[in-house]
Amino acid sequence: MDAGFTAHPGRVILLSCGMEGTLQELLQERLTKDGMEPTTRALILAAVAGPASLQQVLEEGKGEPDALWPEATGHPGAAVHAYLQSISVEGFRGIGPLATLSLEPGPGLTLVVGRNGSGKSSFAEALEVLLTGDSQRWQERSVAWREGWRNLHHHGAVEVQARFAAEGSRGLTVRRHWTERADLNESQAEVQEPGRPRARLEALGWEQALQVHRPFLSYDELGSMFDEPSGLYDALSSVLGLDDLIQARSRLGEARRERERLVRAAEQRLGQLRPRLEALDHERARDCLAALSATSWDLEQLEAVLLGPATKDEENGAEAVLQRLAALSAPSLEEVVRAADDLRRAAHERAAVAGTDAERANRVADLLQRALDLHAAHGDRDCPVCGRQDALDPRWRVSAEAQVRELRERARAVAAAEERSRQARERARRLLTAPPEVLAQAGSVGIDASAAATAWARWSATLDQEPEAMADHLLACFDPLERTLSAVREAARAELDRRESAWRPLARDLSEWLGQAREAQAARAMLPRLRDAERWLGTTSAELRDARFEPIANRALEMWEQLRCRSNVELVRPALAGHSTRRRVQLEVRVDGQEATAVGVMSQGELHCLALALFLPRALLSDSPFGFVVIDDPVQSMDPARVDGLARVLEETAKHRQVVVFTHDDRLSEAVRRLRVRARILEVTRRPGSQVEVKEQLEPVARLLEDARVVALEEKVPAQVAAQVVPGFCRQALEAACTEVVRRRRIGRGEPHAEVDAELERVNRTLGYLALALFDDRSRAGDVYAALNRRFGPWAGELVSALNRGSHLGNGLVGDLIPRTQRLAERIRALS
Amino acid sequence: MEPEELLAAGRDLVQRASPATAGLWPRATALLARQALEEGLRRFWRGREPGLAEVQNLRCQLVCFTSLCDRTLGDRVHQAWLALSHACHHHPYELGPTADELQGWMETVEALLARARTGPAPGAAPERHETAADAGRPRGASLNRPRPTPRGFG
Repeated sequence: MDAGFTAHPGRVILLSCGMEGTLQELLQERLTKDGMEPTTRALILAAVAGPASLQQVLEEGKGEPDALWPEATGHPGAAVHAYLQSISVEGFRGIGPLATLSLEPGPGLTLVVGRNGSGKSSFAEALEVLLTGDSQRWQERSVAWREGWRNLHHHGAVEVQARFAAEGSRGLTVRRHWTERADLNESQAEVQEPGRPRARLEALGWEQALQVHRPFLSYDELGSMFDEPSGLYDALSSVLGLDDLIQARSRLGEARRERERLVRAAEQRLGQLRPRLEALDHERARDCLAALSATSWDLEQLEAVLLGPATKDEENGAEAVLQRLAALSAPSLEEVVRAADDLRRAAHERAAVAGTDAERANRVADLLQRALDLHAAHGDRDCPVCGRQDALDPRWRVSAEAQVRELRERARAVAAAEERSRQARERARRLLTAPPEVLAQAGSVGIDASAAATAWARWSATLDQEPEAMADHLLACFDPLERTLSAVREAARAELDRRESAWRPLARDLSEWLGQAREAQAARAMLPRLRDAERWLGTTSAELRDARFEPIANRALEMWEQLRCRSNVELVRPALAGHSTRRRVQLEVRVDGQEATAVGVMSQGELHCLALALFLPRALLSDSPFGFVVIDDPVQSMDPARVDGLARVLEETAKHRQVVVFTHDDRLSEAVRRLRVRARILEVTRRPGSQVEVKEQLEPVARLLEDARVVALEEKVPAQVAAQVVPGFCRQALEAACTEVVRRRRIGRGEPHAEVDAELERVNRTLGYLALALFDDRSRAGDVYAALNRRFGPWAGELVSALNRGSHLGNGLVGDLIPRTQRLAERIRALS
Repeated sequence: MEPEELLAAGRDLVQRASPATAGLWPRATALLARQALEEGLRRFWRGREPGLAEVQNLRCQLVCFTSLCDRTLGDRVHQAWLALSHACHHHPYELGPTADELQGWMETVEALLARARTGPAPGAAPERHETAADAGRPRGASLNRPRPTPRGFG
């Protein structure tokens, strides 16, 4: 950006704050140049636009903040410079009856001099009260000030009025009025312009500019500038037009802190939940922990764990083992008993057909059947086996057929008994299963199943026993098995219950936390953007601030160089540094080459100069609507030499601004005259009853002669009085001429101001002044008459003698004293 | 002019607001008040020590007044005279006296004039400090005569 002095030919003059384009355009340009990530960009622009826009972007994660920019506030682009034409005051502070301070409306220097209590500062304060109302500055004043704002000699309404000349206006009158009983803060202010209706003061739109550019600088204010570093910073930075950025940054900071609080709260809550999760030997707890690593939270996973069905892991885990243990069962007693009965019955049947050889019986039956078949085919005959004659006959047939039937019957009974026995054993074998695997895992979930395992091992051990023995085994082993298994089931169920009762409240807490965590996670996602935005805005506003402050700093440096005179304190470029609560103005100085801080090493007078150097440029910025700057008593506690520097600074400033300086003594006017600075000098005096008068002050010689002339010619002044007063004025006019010569001569050859002043201070009679002027030696008063007569002619000595007589005795001839004094004063002033 | 007249003229200048005398009244009044003071002091001596009235060195008259007549009033008059003399010369940087200052000095002059009218003779002043050596010596003779000085150029 191109902040800097507007260059006039060969000179550094007005300050331009570089408000080319709006702040918005500038920011957009920079954001584009820096390639800012879109959300961050949106955050920055929305933060500058205002809290509502920022909220929108934060909620939606995006926005069109470029369109949200508010109407431009403050900082009018083309400022119309208003110049002061007059200040009229009635009944305010030291001013009783209406008094008017008339000024030349336009650039130039005006000094308003007056003794303390003359009412001069009342003009300055009246102007400030007129424009700013009962501002903070007045409220900080002492009770005495606040109660004594009404003039004691004035009764009735109080009124302050100022006229301004401004471009494009036929004159502007601002008036503030207090009724008879009103308090300081109960006034009415209005603006009047020819041809326009009266308006409220606010219509001028000066409110902000009055704060930002503050065209009033008072001794008190300058003196307290360094009391508080942040106050000084604010006063200097407000003029830079970056308040919107500073506010935007604090908005971003607030949004960031709010989100950090959310994240922190969720983390703290998790910190409480995590040990509970860790303490719980529970599948879901472990799954939850897995979803919640220290760095990232998988909240979807967490929710799935909390709400969803069992996971695969869970089927193999302790939970499942416990479930299976709890569900363990042996065959029912009924089954076991039936199996045992079956076994016993089969055994009994087999015993019944014991000794029967089913095969042999079948074979015999087969043989007999075949013999029957032979008999049936071939009739009675001998036995083919044993040969007995006629053994096969009808009688034999009947008997043989019966024998075959019986043999076959017996063979079938044996087979059936065999079959039943096989089946009973098979059934029994099915009951005698191998021990389930889960029994072996019981130890891993803390359940003692060893008894059950042993019982089951015994139960399943005897597979090849005879049915009778098997039935005994079943009945003998079932009972221990059932008893031990029942114990395991109980234990598993108890463990399951225990786990479940610890998990359930934790699960509820986690569900609650889930909502909080979702918010925190969204907040956390926004944090890096917010931090980026904040950082960028911080850096950028610091850059803009530095760039915009640079011309002010430069001007301050120049002014300090002029003001410091022989001070060994060298100012290093002032800078605005830090932000928020650490904001401050860096005022480093070098004292004889040693670095130090300004406040540490500077005298009160130097600090005043420094404050002036820092604050005068602020009033000179080109965007201020004020063409004037009012400085109240800057000379207090200032060395005479520094007053010269001040005169120079004011001269330079007055080229482009109307500078009105109120001062309580004549040092500044003296310097202004000696340095031939163009200035108008007004003197304020106050007579009893707070009658304040303002009179243009000529240079001292001319003024004293003019005073003498007035007294001599004014009809209202009795002649005798004039005869007393005129010689005194004439004598003082000569003294003033001498003083002028002596100062010019001695300061011209480099003598310190203070020494010249001290020398002049030692003189207490007219001849002493003349001796200094004529011989540069105040002790040679005795030679003055001779020298006067020799150098200027006898009239000169006669005049001085007459003046001395006259001012002591009051009997001089008044008439021609004044022209002769003027002549002699001119000759004296011409001395080198 | 009588000192009373000078004072009256001074008061008039201070009090009567007039564009004609705006700005010049402080110094003009100082000149008048100083004349009144010096005139008043001379009047005081004329009634008591006429020789002293002729002494041109005002400082001498003041010192005598203070040490012989009235220390308190003498100090006041002396201070007023110094201040008025200062105001009657040109001083760089200095503005004219204020109305309050002028009125204070004029009150002092009035007190001096009242003393000149009614006050006891020198030596009867209650605050007078007498040394043993002073006792019994004629009043006038007790004073070191001021050195003759050329006409004072104040």
